Amino acid sequence: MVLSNRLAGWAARRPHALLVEVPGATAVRWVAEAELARAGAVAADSAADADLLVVAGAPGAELTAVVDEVWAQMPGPRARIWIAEPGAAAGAVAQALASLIGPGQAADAGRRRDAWAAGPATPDGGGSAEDGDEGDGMQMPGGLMMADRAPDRDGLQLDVLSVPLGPVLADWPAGLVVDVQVQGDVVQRAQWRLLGPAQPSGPASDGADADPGRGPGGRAASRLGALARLLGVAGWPAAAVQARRLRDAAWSGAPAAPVRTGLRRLDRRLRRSRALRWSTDGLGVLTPDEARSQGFPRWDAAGADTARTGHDATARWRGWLTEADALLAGEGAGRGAAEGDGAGHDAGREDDASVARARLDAAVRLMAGLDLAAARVVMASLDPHCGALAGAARRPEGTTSA
Amino acid sequence: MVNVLAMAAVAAAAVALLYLVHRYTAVAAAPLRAGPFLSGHRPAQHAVSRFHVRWYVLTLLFLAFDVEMLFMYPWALVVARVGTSSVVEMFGFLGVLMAGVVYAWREGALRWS
Amino acid sequence: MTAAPVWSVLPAAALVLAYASGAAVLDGLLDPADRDRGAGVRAGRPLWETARLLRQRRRSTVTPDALLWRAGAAGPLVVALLMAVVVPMGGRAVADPVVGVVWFNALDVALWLLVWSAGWGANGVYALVGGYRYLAQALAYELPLMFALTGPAVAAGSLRMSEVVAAQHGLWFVVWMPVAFGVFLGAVAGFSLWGPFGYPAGRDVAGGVLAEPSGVDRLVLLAGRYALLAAGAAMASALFLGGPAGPVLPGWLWSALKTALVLAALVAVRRRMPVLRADRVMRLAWLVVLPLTLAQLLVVAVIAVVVGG
Repeated sequence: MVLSNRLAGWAARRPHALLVEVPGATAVRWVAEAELARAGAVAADSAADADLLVVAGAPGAELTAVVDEVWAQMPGPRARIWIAEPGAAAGAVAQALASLIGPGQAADAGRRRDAWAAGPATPDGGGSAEDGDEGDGMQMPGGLMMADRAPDRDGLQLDVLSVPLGPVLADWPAGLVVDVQVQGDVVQRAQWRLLGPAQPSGPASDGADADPGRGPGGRAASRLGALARLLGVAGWPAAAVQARRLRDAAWSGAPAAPVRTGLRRLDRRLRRSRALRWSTDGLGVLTPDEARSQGFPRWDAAGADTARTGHDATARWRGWLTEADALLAGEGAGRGAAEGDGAGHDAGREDDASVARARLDAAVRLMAGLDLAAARVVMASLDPHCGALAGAARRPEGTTSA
Repeated sequence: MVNVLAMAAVAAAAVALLYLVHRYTAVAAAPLRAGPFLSGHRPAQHAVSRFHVRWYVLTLLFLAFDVEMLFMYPWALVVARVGTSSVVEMFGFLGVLMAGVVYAWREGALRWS
Repeated sequence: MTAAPVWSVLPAAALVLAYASGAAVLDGLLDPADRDRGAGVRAGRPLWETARLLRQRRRSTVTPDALLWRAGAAGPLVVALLMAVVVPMGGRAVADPVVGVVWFNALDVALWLLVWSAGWGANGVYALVGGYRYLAQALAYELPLMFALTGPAVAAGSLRMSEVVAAQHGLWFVVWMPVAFGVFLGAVAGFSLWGPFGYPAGRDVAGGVLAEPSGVDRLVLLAGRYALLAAGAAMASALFLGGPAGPVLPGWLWSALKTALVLAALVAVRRRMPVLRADRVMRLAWLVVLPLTLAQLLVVAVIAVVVGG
C-alpha cells in the first residue's frame, strides 16, 4: 500500500495528456496546454500513452462519441476533464491530477476488461462483407474485415486500407477528420469532414476570449501556434516548445521586445536548419493565386527561394516567422490597411469560412500520392482554421484523386 | 559461449522480473482489450495487410551489398597479409556495386515520394 | 586473454542499465519543456516514467499477433544487453569471441525483425506504418554502418574486440577514421530510434511503433531504446576511442568516461534537429555517406597494407 502510494505520487510528476480540441476553442486549448505544462504534463501521442484526456471546448454528439472511444482505449490510471472555457482550466487540471493518484483507479480498472466488445458495433463491420462472395456466413477474426484491394499508380492490385486521420491526433486541426485510403503508407485518396461543437456558433460570436486571433498580439500568436504544430509534425519537439512559449507570450500581451528577441532566436534556428528544409521543401505547393485567395502573405511568395520551389510548406513557415515578427513590431495595422487593394492578405481572412474551406480542399488534394509523413506536413503547413467552419453548414466535402 | 548464454538468461530474467513486478504494481494485472488507436474511430479492417513498400527496389540493391559483406569480414582479416592485390580486388568489386547504385539512382530507385 | 568468469554478466548488465538510466536523466535535464521546473524534478524523469508505466495497465488490441508484439517490445532490451557482451568495459569483456565485431553487427540486424514485429503485432495502422518506417530507415544507415565496422577490423587485422582495442595503442582509430566514427554514431542513433532517427516512432503517426503498447510493455521498449544507445556508445568508445587507453587514470575509468561522453553527445543531439524522413535522406545515404565510408575504408586498407607489408 505504501509502495503503491509512492508509485502513484512519482507517476503524477509527469502525467501524459492527450488533448482534444473542439473547433472554435483554440483559446481554451492554448490555456489548457500552458496549464498542463505547468503541472509537468507532457503531450501524449496516442490513447495507450495517455493518463489524462483533456477536452477543450464543448463537443457535439459526433465528437463526443470519438472522445468516448479514446477514453475507453486508455489503459488506466486515467482521468478525463472537459474544459469549456479558459478560466476553468487550472482547477480542472488540478482535480484530474488528484483523481489520477486517488484510490478510485483500481476500481475503475476492475470494471473494465474488454473495451472493444463493450463498445458499439464497428461502423461497417457487417456492411463491407458484401464484396466478398463467402463473406455472409464467415466469421471474421475480431469481427473485422481484411484489407480491400485496389490498383496502385502502376496498375498493380494492392491492399488498400481505409484510415480516418483525426480528430484525436497530435498537432492536427480541431475536429477535422480526413478519411484516407492508403496503400502501404501512401495516401491514394483523401476526403475531409468536420466534427463540430455542441452549439454551432459563428466565428465572431464567441467573444474575444474564445477567439485568440484578435489584435496584433493574438494574430502573431496564431502564426506561432501554427508553427509549433508544424514543428511537432516534423518531429522537432524542442523547437516546437520554443514556438509555443513565444505564442503564449505574444498572446498574453507581454511586452513585444523580449518576445521579438526570442522570435529572432527561433527564426535563426529554423532558417539555418537544413534538415527542416528537407522535411518541408516542395510539399503542398500552391500557385500564387491559390496562396493569395487562401490568405497566405504575399511578401514571402516573392522571396528568392520560393521562386524556385513555389509556395510550398517551407515558404509558409517562413512566412509565419516574418509575419509574426511584423505583427509584434506593430506593423500589422498598417499592413492590413494597405492591403485593401487585395494584393496581400488582411488580418481576419484566415478566420473566414471560405478560406478555411479552400485550405482544406487544397490539403486533401495535395495529400494524394504522398506518404503519411508528408501528408501531415502539408496539412500542418496549411493550418486550416476549423473553428471558422464550425458555424457554417457541416456537410462533408472533399476532393479525390489518385 | 557460456557467457553469452548467461547474458541472454540475465536479460530474460530482467524482463521477466519487470513483468512480475508489474503484476503487483499495476492498477489491474490483466491487460485491457481495446481497439487499436485510430484517432478515436473504430477500425473496420485489420491493419495487418500486404504493405505496399515503395522502396522495394532499394531492398534489392541493399541485398547485393549485404551479400558482399560475407566477403568483407573474412577479407578484413587478411588485408595486411595478402597486400596490395587484396585491396585492388575488393575495391574493384565495390566499384562495380557502386556503379549499380549510380544506375539505380539514375533510374529513380532512391526516391519514391 | 583469459575468459571472464560467468558472474561477470551481472555487473556488465547492471552497467548497461546504469548508463541507460544516466542517459534518461540527462535527457530530462536537457528538455526545454521542463525548463521552469527544478533540476531534481527534471533529473528524476526516468523514475517518474518508470513508476507511471509500472502502475499503468497493459493493453491488448483486437486480434493482435501477440507473440511477435511482445517479442518486439522486449527484444531491444535483450539485444542491447547481448551487444554489451562483447564490449570490453573496464578492460575486459564478458565474452571475447573471434567474431566480436560481426556479433554486434548481427544483433543490430536482428533489431530489424524485432522493431518491425513491435509495429506489426499490434494490428494497428499507425504501429504498422512505424514498423515499416524502421525498415526503410535501416536501408539508409545499415550499409554505412557495416563498412564503418569493417574499418577498425581491417586496421587491427582481427574481428576480436580485445585485439581491436589493443591495436589502438599509440593512436586511437578515431584520429584516422573520423568518417567511420561519425557514421557509427549516426547508425547507433538510427537503430535506437533516437532523435533525428525517431521516424519509426514519429509523432505524426501517433507514436508509430509506440502507438499501442502501455504499461510494462512500453516500459521495456523504452528502456531498450536507452539501453541500445548505451551499448552503442560503449562499442564506439572501444572501437574508435581506444577503450581503456589513457594517462594517469585507471583503464576502467577511462572506458567509463569515454562511454559516458559519447552517450551524452548522442542524447544531446536529439534537440538539435527535426526527424529525418527516410525518403528524404535516402539519396544522401547512398550517394554521399556510402561512398565516403568506402573511401574511408580504402584509406584504412591502404595504410594497413603499407604498415603491415
